[in-house]
This record gives sequence, structure tokens and C-alpha cells, in this order.
Amino acid sequence: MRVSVYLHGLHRAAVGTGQIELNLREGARVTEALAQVMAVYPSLPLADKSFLVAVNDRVSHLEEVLQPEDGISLLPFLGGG
Amino acid sequence: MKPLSSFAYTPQPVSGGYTDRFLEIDLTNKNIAVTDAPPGFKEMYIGGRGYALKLIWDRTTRETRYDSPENVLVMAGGPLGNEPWFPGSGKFIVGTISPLTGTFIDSNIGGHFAPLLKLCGFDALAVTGIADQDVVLVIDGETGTIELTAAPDFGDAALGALSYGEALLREFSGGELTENIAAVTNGPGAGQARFGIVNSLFYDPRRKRIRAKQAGRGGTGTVMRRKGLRAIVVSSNLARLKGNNPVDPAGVKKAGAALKKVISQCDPKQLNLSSWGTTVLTEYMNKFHILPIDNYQYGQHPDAAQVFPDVFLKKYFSQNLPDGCYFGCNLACAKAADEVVLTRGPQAEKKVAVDGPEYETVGAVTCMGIFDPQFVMEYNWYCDEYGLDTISMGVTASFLMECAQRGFLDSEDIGFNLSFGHIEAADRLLHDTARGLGLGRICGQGVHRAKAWVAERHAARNSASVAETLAELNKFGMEVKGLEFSMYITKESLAQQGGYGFALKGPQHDEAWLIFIDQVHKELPTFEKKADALKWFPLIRTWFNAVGLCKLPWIDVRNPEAAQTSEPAKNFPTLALYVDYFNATVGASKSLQDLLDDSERLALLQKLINIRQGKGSRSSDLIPFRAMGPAFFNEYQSRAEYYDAWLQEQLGPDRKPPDDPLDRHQLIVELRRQAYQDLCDAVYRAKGFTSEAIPLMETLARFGLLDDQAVGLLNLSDPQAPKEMVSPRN
Repeated sequence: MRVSVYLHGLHRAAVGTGQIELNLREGARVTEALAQVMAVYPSLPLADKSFLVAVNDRVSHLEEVLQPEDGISLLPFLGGG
Repeated sequence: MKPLSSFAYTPQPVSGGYTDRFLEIDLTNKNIAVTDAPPGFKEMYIGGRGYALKLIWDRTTRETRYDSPENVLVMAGGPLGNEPWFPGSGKFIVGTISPLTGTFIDSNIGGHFAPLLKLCGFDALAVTGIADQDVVLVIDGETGTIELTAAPDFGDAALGALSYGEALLREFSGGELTENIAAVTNGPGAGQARFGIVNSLFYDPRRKRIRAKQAGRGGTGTVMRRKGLRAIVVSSNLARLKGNNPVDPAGVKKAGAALKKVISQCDPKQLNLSSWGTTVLTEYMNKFHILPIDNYQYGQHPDAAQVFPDVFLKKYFSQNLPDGCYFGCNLACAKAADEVVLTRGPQAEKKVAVDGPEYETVGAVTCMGIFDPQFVMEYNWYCDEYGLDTISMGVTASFLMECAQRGFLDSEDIGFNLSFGHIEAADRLLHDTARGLGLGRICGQGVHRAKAWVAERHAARNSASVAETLAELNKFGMEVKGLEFSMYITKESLAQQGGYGFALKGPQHDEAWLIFIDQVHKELPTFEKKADALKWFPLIRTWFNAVGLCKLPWIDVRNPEAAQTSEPAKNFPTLALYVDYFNATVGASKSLQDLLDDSERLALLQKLINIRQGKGSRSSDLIPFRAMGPAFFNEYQSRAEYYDAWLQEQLGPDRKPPDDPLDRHQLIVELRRQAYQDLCDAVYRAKGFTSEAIPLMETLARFGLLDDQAVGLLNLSDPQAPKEMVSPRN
């Protein structure tokens, strides 16, 4: 199934693009999607989980089972100035 | 320069973060006085905002207006400001009765001014009266002299807040700038507009130039200008490392080192504020439909990437230096561009240094439908030089643009083509506002007063009712209590609607910013949870404004240990470091709850001032409908998928929404209005208020705030309330 990963700020600057398209097996979880991203872009600072995962613009978790056409966003912790 | 008035004194040494002394200036009589803080004062009112609140509560009345001689302009740091061992410690508060709201306003500002004021021996500066000529106040801690002098004339090239401040600092430093002298100034725009700012100027040896930070909100610079006080210069050569003389220096160093470690390890992997500054927010706000566009009609735009942070980093932030606004802050989120050539306005072709932009300034420009980074830089610089708030300027200009768009203003009213996205028009309106010309004169009054002007002209031209016209304008005039909204769209976060509506000073996000935990995290699903957050966050944020600290190292750098706590968004592990820092500095053993209780006293005192000034009732907390949802059908259409899903959720699975989109829009309007009223009820209950937003007697009594004035106010608000005073006056 096809899933999009949206990158912003630091992550977007690190890889030079704001969107990555992935082909995943049916029933894949967020963590598998991120493993694919890290395999292609090892410089992305994803290993220490210093970010939030949102699926379809709603905060989620690494073990969420993805659906076809889902959009994963990696977000910083935002508290407002 | 011959002083108009002079005062010799011996600077009081700092002990445990305080000097326990105030400097009081009466400009009418040119009187200078040094007074002692009353016993128990610091325990009750902490510092910063608390000191400003208490001085204004005691010394102004219901009749006091921003330009009344008795209005007090207070500048106060706090016990935790001035500490290089701890990050974010250069903040101070400028507080007064606002020209926009008519009630208490304060705005926090970074730089070296408050630390130097403390080294000169003062916890707070209180200015009253009105000078009969423009004056400058000079506080010299080295010689122990305080002087009022006639404001020097540096010629036409140095009339602005930045240029005048630089000339002044060079004059008083003998030509060789150092970090031991700083100034606050206002600009000529503050003499025309109600949203004038106070600039804080200090020398940065790394950039080898003077940098500036701003107290932007609510017109504090307008008050300063109206008093005839052009600038204040403060200097001291005392060592900053011992600036607070804490009770437990080792405890301060330990807490500060721990927080600096969190920042250095986490910020580069999180928001990256140290490299990009607050402009980094633009991208995230745009993604979640929160970035104001065309006067908050829309929250996302395909051109927004033109003002994303990497654009400013590559094109403008020339040296990529960590621009902290005070020693020891390794978050250092202030950014600067040293060589920007102006292309517009009266100083076109001049090369200037721009301190900023902050996210709020970027948002003010997108609010006008403009996505040009060069215009952002120029708008930033001109507003600072004129001494105007970038937020109120942008929001009022946007409101007028929408009045033109919707036919409430015509070409005769405006005099030129004013429309969203039109850079030349926005630029002209900015300069006309600073000069008080044409439509700029109306713009300078802010949205609240501009609404009345537009309503009268439109109604007269169309033989319509002024009240009915005003009701239409109220839908999209983005102000509450007279203050313009800061730069976040709240249509999809009920909690943040309250964050703006209940904010005591008006809709500025420094009291509560709950958009992400509500809209994205979905952590506040019930009215009760929203109400709890709308009580807790303003209290902890108030504490930062009372002690002289920046809140970004707490709220925008997530401590990894927070993930193991029940409420990660509150970032308790970092707050524990702040509690340790407070206790080590002042020699206390307070808990976080004790600090929140101290803040609640200040919030209640601010509420009392609001009640006294006619801005404390339930109706004062009402927000324009655009802040609740789609004020017009075009806004509904632009996010129809979201609004339709929200409507279905409200109706439940058994009820079908109307087929006609116009009917759906109308139903959404009705439901959202009701939701906001329900939120009001929940929040007032949580805060110990009546349903009319008035604090209960017992709530005030619990915090020692029932003085004669408070009892009188509550008796006016509630004829059934006890008539006698129930606690000693503080």
C-alpha cells in the first residue's frame, strides 16, 4: 500500500524534500514506515524519538497500524511562545 | 547636558535576587525618589508583572486613562532575572494602563535593561506625570546619580526609536559602546498610534552593533511617549555573574547547568530555535491551518513556503550567530540580519540591521495576504524604528483590507487601492499610520476604534443602522477588550478560543497557547479538561512574567523525561529545575504548587483591575465569531471537509446534517457560539468566579486580596455581597 511521509522544519531541511512516498505491506505500522525512511535518509535524526508522530494530522504512536493513503507527519513538541 | 533634575544615591546591593528598592519618577514635577519596598511586598507580588499590577492597582482609579498624569508606567524585572548561570534571564515587564484596552497591559521584553537596573539598585521603576518637554532619564549606578535631562536633538537622521536610541547610547557611553549601558526608547509612530512599543537596546560585541528587542503589545510605548519620556539610559559596571547574589549559588549553578544541558541536547533535534528562531513556527502553523491569512479568513496558503524559516536563514540571517537577548541563554532564539537594503518607504536604499523577524511579524504580514520575505524584513525594521507593534499594525491593516473587500469601505474612504496581497498598499498604510495621515490615522487607533469609524461611514453612506453595521464588523474585527489578536487562528481549537478570550490583557498568547494539545494532540476532549488547562497554563505563564524569565526554554524545548509523566505537555521535569532555581536564589523552599498559588494571586489582582476598568465581565471575554469558526461562507467552503466532519460529530450518528451547505454553515455558527458559552461556564467554575466572570469573595479572601477597593468593586458587581472589609489591606 502507498503511504506518504511529510517532513517539516529540521527534517525537511535535512533531506531536502517535504514529502516521501513509501510502498508498504498491508498492515504495516508507523515504525516500519520510519525504518524505511531512515534506510534511505540515515542522516535524519529519528533514532531518539525527539519528535511526535501524527497520522492524518492527528497525534498518534509508532505502533499504529497504517491504512492505504495515510499521511504520516513528523512534528516537534510545540508549546507556543 | 545640564540636568533638569538630579538625585544622588547609594545603590542598594542585590541580595537573594532583590534590592527591595523602587525608583519613582514624577515627570510633572521632575521629582526623583528612591523608596523601599513595603514589608511583605515581594512575598505577595513576586516581581515583574506582580509589581506592575500592585503599583497600578494602588495608584490609578476607574477614571485613569492611558494619558492621565497619574497613569503609572512600570518597568520591572524579577528576582530570577540577571543570572548568566541560568538560560533566559534577561526579561522584564513594561506595565501600564493601555491606550487600546483602557485596562492593565503588560508586555515582556528582553535585553540588558532590567539586569542593569537591578545592578543600579532597583527592582522596579515607576514613572508618573507628564513632562512639559521631551526628557531622557539617566540612571548611572557607577556614580550613584539619577538625572532627568532635556531630550538631546540628534537631527533628522535619528528620530526613530532605533536610531535615536543608538545616538543616545553613543552619547552616554563616550563613543565606545559596551554591554554595561542599555536604553529603552519609543519612536515617532508611538506619538500617532495607540499601539506604540518600547524598544530595549543593548550592545552586542559579536555583531559589533546595537541590537533591539521590543515590548510590543498594548501601547506601552504610546504611554511613554505621551508622558514626554523619550528614553531611559541605565549603566553599571558591576559584574553580572554575581548579579543576583543568590542565597545558594551552587543550587543556582546546578539547576542552570541541568536546563542548559536539556536545551543543548534537545533543541537541535526539536524546534531548532537556536538556528532558526521563532520563524520556524510558520511552517507548522501553515500545515495545521493556523497561520493567519487575509485577516484570519484562511489558515493555509500555497505561497507560504516563501516565508518559511530556511528562507530567512539563507537570505537574511547573515552570520548565523546564536543571538541570545541576555548572557547565558543557550537557546538564543532571537535572530538578526545585519545588512538589509530597504527598497520602500522614506528610507529606501538605506542599509539597515534588522533584529528579527519573529514568527509574529511573519504572521502579521501573511495576515495582509503578503508572502514576500523582503517585505517582512522591511516591515519589521520600519515598525521597530517608528515604534509600532508589528502585530496590531498588521491586524488593523488586515481588518481595513477586508472592509474594502466586503464593501464596508470605498475608495473615497481609503484614498488608494487597499487590498490583500498588495505590498505597495500595505507599505503606504504603515508609513501613513506612523505619520497619522489619512486612513493611517484611523489604522493607528486599532481595530476596536476602526470598527466604529467604518460603521459610521458605511451606515451614513447606505442609510443603514450603525449598530447593525457594527454587528457585521464584529464578526471579523479581530480584537477582544480592545487588543488585536496575536497570530494564531483558533477556529479549530475551542481551548485556544478560550486562551484568547479569557486572557486578562486581551488576545495575546502569552497567557495560554493550547492549540496543539487541543487541535492536534486531542488531549483536551471535555469542557472540564479544557477549563483545567485554561486555569493551569495561564498561572504558570504568569509566574514567568513575574520573576523575569523567558518561558521558551520550558515550553518550547521538551525535556525527554516529560514523556514518562502523566501530562507531557506541562513539561514537569523542566519546571522542577525552575522551582530549584527560584528556591536557590531567594532562599525559599517552595513547591511548584506554591508558585502557582503566587501566580493566582497576581491573576486575580489583574482581574480586579479589569473589573474596575470595565473589562472584567463575561461580555468582555466574548471573542469575534471569526475566532470561533467560519464567519462567512467562503471560510466554510475553504475547509468544508473539516467543518462537515465536525458538524456530524456534534449531531451524532443518528442525526443528518442539512443538505444545503448554507444551512450547514448556519448550524455550525449556532453550535460554535453555544460551545464558547459552555466553555465560559466551565472555566469560570474552575477559577472560582461567578457565571458573570466575577471572582467570589472567598476566592479573593484566600489570596489576601480583599482590600477596601476590592470589596467596593465586588459590592458594585453583586449587591448581595458582604459590605464590610474582611481582610487587612495589603
